[in-house]
Amino acid sequence: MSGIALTNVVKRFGALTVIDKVNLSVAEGEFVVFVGPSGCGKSTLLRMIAGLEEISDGELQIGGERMNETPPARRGIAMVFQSYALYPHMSVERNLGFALETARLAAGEITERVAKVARFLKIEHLLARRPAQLSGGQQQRVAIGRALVRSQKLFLFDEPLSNLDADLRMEMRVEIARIHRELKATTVYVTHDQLEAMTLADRIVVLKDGHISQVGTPMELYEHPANKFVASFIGAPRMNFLTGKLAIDGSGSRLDVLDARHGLENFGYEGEVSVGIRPEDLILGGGDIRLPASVQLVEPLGGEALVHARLGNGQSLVVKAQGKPDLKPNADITVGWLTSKAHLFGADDRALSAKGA
Amino acid sequence: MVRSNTGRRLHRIAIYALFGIVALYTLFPFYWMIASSLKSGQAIFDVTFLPDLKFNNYQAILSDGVFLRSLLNSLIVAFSVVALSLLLAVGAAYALGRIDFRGRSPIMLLVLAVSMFPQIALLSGLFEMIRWLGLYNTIGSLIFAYMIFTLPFNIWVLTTFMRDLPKQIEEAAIMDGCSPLRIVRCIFLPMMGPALISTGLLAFIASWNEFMFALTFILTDENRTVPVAIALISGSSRYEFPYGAIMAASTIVTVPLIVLALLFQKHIVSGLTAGAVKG
Amino acid sequence: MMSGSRSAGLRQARVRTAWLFLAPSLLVLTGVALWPLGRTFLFSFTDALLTEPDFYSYVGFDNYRALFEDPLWWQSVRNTLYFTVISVSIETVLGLTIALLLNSHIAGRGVMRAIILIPWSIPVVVSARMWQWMLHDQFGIVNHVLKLAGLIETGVAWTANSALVMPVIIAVDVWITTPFMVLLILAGLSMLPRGIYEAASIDGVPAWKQFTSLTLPLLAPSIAVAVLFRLLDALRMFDLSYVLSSNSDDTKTVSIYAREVLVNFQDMGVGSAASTAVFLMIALVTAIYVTVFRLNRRLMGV
Repeated sequence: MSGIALTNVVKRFGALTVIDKVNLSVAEGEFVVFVGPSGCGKSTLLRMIAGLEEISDGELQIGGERMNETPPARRGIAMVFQSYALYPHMSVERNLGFALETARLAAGEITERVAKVARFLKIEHLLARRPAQLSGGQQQRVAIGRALVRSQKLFLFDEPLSNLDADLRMEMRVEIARIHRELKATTVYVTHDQLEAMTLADRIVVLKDGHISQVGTPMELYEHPANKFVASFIGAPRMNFLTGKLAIDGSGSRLDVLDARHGLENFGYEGEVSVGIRPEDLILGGGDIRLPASVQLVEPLGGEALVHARLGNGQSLVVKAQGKPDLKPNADITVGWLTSKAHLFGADDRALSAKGA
Repeated sequence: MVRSNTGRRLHRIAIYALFGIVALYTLFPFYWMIASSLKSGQAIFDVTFLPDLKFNNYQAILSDGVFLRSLLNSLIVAFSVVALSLLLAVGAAYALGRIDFRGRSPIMLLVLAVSMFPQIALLSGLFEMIRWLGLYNTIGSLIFAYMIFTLPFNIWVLTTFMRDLPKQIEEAAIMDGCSPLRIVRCIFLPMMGPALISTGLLAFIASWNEFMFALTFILTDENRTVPVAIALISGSSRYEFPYGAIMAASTIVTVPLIVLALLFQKHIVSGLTAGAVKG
Repeated sequence: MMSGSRSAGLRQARVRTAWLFLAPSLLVLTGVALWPLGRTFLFSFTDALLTEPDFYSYVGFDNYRALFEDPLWWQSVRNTLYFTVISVSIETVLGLTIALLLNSHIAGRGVMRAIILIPWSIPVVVSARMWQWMLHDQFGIVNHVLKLAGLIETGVAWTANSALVMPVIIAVDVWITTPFMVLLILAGLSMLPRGIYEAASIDGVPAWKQFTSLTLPLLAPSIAVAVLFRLLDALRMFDLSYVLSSNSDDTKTVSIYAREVLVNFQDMGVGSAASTAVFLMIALVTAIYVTVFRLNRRLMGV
């Protein structure tokens, strides 16, 4: 049993509340990613699960047992740190075996388990070295190995890849995915990188200012962001936002964006709205709603290109277009989208949905 | 404004001349002590700049049971003070450097204040305390009393060092199931090598050299330490002053210290500056 | 154990660990510093004798009155202050000069840094004995050299002449402690930003101007801290005077005076009063110094 349940969990530093009544449950074997901008409380929440930060209020359960007061080492968890935190004066082998040594396991068993983990992570040839003699990627493998060797049922990762360069990050991402696939341990992973979140997670928890903004599978968050914050945080390049006006029109609704207008299903909402359209959903010269724009810049990415366009009111849009569109700066174009692909957000930034849909 | 070649050479010669003067000023007294110790009997009273390489003074001083005894006492005191002050200071430094608790700042201030106490201000109270502990006229009294100048300094320096060790290493150790004691012993101590060498050496040198407490708390010859023993060597009259023996004894207690100081030069300097800049 | 850690929070457990780790040090510091300081203060208002410190009665300020009426006390105060001001000044100037010399990028400065450590690491008692021998009126090398140079005809009794003994002690102290000053100032010099000198050289600022308008102001905090440490040390000077000129009133420092009353005359009351006076004197000097140079931040910070 290694599921996690957080009930009304609060963290206060003095008068400052950094985690405010968070409720979340993580199923056994699930890979959950905490994501959000820096200062959103994601690391604090992870450290509270680890026991490195005290829980000010609320309850943490792991495997159905209250853990608020249990020392970190007795919570049945292993953790990988952003800085790797390897013991600099110990060989890789001793780094890996140190937790077992601390638990007073027999020397033979320690050697055996360390060897097994080293083989699993392909670091057998590094066992005699000191951390300072390893590359960043190798250090990261050792840090993961140190967590694996304790064969816990629950793994915590605190931004483990942010000190690596892009290539290694990709390689280690694949490696972490493989480890999870093979060990099926419950995993909580913190990152500020939405791409890592999208590729690794069974479920993503988006945090903002100490609150959970939305929880869901990567595709749920991508396709149905619950609010403007999640919509802009998930997906790259960022979602475009335009200001529009929603009005009730007979049995349906009517959306006005600049000079364009389109009928919609009934949203039961009247007033100003944010219309969010992802760059990949914008169509050059097509769509239900079309707006005249002028090209500002074309960034070719090879197979596709990002077209930066400016609307009549001065607002900018980014369009992801296939191939290499033959557009010059200042060229006049129309940009449009299918209304089914647009996300509407009300004055409180929450997503609006059609009634009875 | 390019300086001419001769100008540059003159500048260099001037600097080396100054180096020479400083070196002579620094080293000559030390040389003279060794040279005098190697002259036998009356030869010491003839001023010759080269030593005779006679070892009579050393034979005399090393066959003197009282001097050997004080050498041993000094060694015991210095090593005990180093061990005890480091042991206590490492524990205190962990608390002060790594744990945030109310009372931390007042204690740091207290430690700083105590390190500035003039030793004379404690003498009568310390006298009473030492008698009460039954340590009067034992080297135990010195091991105890020397905590006053080693412990606050060590706590201060080790705390600043301990504070700079990475936080995540400690957290990794906590996750690995280490108790605070095991964190200090197996993780932090090995990482603090340089700081321990600096503070340990400075504590050793200070204890080896201390004079006033050693003069006051020790009554009998066989319990004395070397500074007092050397200070108290005297002849029956001014003209029989055993300068040869004194110089030999001085050389014996000084040379190991200088070897230590030269070997660990960098550590000593960093210890001194850590104490001064941060303390 | 389990129930104990359950009832207390993790933070509280950590705070408890802190006090547990601190306790031995606090106990020792109390026993060796705070309690003795308090007892010394208390004894200064009693007529206790060193032989029987348990039997005493309170005598109010009698001890302080006796102390302040003793001309020898005031002479030792004068001696101490004179010694402190002169020796620390010379050491600072000399230390700065040697440090600047050793800071030049020239072969051999590593060796020089090592050499400079030697006087500092010799026990003060040994240094005192060594200089005593060099300054011996009949057989001393100093008089010998002076005679050879034709500067004097008969040997000078350096440590017996009441006009000479204080300058001699100051000279020996300068020899012993200038290295400390050099090392601290060198450390300060090594922390100066290199870039500004390059900029100044490119701008054609002459060397002496670089020294007075760049080096000195930037170095001032390092020098100030080093001087404070020397001040504290010089004000409690004991061993050098004691060994070099043990019974001379001309070099008696406050520390020697206090110990003499306490140990030789067994007068715990007046001895403690003198000790307390020394403590207050040093505290006062430190407070003035720290305030004047606004050192508080540098000392407390970081």
